[in-house]
Amino acid sequence: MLFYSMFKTLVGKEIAVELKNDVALTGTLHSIDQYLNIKLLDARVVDAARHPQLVAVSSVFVRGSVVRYVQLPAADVDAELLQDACRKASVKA
Amino acid sequence: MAGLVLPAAASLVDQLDKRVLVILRDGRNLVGVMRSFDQFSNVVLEDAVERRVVIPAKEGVNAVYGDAPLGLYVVRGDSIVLLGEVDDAREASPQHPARMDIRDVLELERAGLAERAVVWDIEES
Repeated sequence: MLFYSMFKTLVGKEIAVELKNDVALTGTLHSIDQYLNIKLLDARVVDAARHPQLVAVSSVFVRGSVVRYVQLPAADVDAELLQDACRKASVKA
Repeated sequence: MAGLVLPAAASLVDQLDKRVLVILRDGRNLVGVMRSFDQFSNVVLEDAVERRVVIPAKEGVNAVYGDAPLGLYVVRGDSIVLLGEVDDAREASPQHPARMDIRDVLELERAGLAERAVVWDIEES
């Protein structure tokens, strides 16, 4: 649940998502669920020449299972808080 | 009970009754009106078509696409890569591939004059 909670704090921020098939998308994080499925608003495909069909889409739902990386705005992530939360969770477990 | 259950794939509710582009793990593109979904992101597409997008081999020629009609489809969630709401204005923009008859698109592919826009196959990568 840790990363789900972290992503929830990033709603409304600009993020970039790279998928396992090398497609990269940028957009505003609209919502996230417990599978880390991601919904982006006003999404843009990074390499439109390679994936021209994605020019047509505005908001995109990405299935969590196909995500390789998510690039986050560093200023909006409190790494220390995340570390503490991780420790607390592992002590509890 | 309802308070404890997390809203899985809840965000798809905004796409209900909208025309969506679904990209599958095997690289196919489906376009249809999303009528239903569940917590596994299984979706029902009405008037589904397979969108075949090809990039001509000749340099500087824009991509084209053709739609092959399929009908009513239930797409299993685990084969979905992404699902995007089709924006009519963006679909009509010059950056988007131009529409062609599906038979012409298939003929271009057969003749080796054009290549499918992406090899998305996640299983292979």
